[in-house]
Amino acid sequence: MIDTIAKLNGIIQILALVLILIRAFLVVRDLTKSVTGVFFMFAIFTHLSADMYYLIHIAMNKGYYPPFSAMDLAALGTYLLFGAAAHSLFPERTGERSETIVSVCAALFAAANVFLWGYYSGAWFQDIFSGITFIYLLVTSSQAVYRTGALKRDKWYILGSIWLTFVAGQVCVPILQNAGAVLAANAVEWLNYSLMFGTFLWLAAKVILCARRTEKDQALALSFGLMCWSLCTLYMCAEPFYQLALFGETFQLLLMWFIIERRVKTA
Amino acid sequence: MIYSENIFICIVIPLLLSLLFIRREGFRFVLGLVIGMLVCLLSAYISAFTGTVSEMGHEQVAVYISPVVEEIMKILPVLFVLFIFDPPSDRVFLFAVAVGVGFATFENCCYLLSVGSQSITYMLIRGLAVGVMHIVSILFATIGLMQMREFKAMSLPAAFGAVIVSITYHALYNLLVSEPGITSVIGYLLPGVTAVLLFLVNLRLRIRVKT
Repeated sequence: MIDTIAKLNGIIQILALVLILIRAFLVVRDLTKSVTGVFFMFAIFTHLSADMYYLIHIAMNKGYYPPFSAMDLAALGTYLLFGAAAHSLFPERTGERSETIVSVCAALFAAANVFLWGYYSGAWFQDIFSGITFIYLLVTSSQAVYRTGALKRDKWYILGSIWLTFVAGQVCVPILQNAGAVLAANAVEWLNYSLMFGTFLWLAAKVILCARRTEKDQALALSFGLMCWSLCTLYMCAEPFYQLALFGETFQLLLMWFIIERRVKTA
Repeated sequence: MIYSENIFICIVIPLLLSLLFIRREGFRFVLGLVIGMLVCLLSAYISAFTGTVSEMGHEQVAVYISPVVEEIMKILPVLFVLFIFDPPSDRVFLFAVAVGVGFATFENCCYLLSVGSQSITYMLIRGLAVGVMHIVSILFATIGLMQMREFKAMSLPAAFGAVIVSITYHALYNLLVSEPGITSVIGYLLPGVTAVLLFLVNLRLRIRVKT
């Protein structure tokens, strides 16, 4: 059952990415006027290649694939290109102390995620390698959100608390499981899922609201933040929640495209 | 078993000699061809070495290792030219295409000698699929690098990302053609379809430049 849903979910994401690429091709002249659009197009193409590679690999029953195969590299490339796109939105530093604090906190949060990936998967070397690119993506996205002023100061405090709770919750689960407190571990796990999907919905709502208020740069910066969060959620979810997170990622990519398309058309 | 070094020497000597008598675009193209062939030879060494060290079979090396090694090796001369000489975009494109053509030509030569050239159908597939794929994959990375240079947004993450685009594309092709059946048919069609799409994108962008 899960296998069928996983394949279906994978196909839905591929179709969404193909749709984005077709739309991107139609507005390629406007899209290539900005470096963000160029990076975005490349990132989507890499994402699509990675998805297709994964699905074909499964369909061909190839079984085990070695670390640092093309699919892992494609994931790294996607992070790097999306990170470069986020950086290109507002490349100039504001020089404010709070921007540095945001960048450092984002890097720490990403590093904590990388540690958790390594802990759960056991593939430390590979996770650290891909984690470096994830840190780059999260830092550049946070800087883009900060520089566009998409989040007010109080919202940054809320987001910081969410980051802290997220990491604490994820660390607590294995500790409680090892201590034999299965009920408590399950309760914390459910709280984690609520936090992950709740925050996803909150950020998605903020992106849509900003886009409707025609605050295009803010909406785009927030959509990069939403992408980072959807990745954190995706890698911390077990089945069947993983499929829900994957669907969320597809939705987020479509949302990001609509904002970019509106941005380039009205530029 | 074939002696690819000997084949390389045999093909390259007349090309190198021709460099003494040609200039400008022709010189750059032939030089690119020679470099592409050299890169192909070196990639084969590296892939074989990596395969032996990691105890992988021939098919696994072709599917998992070769795309990564070959694409990185192919883009290195382009990056060298780009960063050292900083030439105009059309020259970089010409050089990149020449490297891709040289790579594909040498690979096809070695392949023909090792498996024979009796089947014209298979030879056509080989030429239209692998030959085109090597050109398209290097063009992906080159277009990415050119765009970054145009917007003055060249950075290590972005350049690495552009190279990964070509690696993934190459890996996808190798995966598809690794088994007979519908997947290999899709794989053989992939380079041609992408080449047409790339041409159309280029055409649209050229129209923008003209107007």
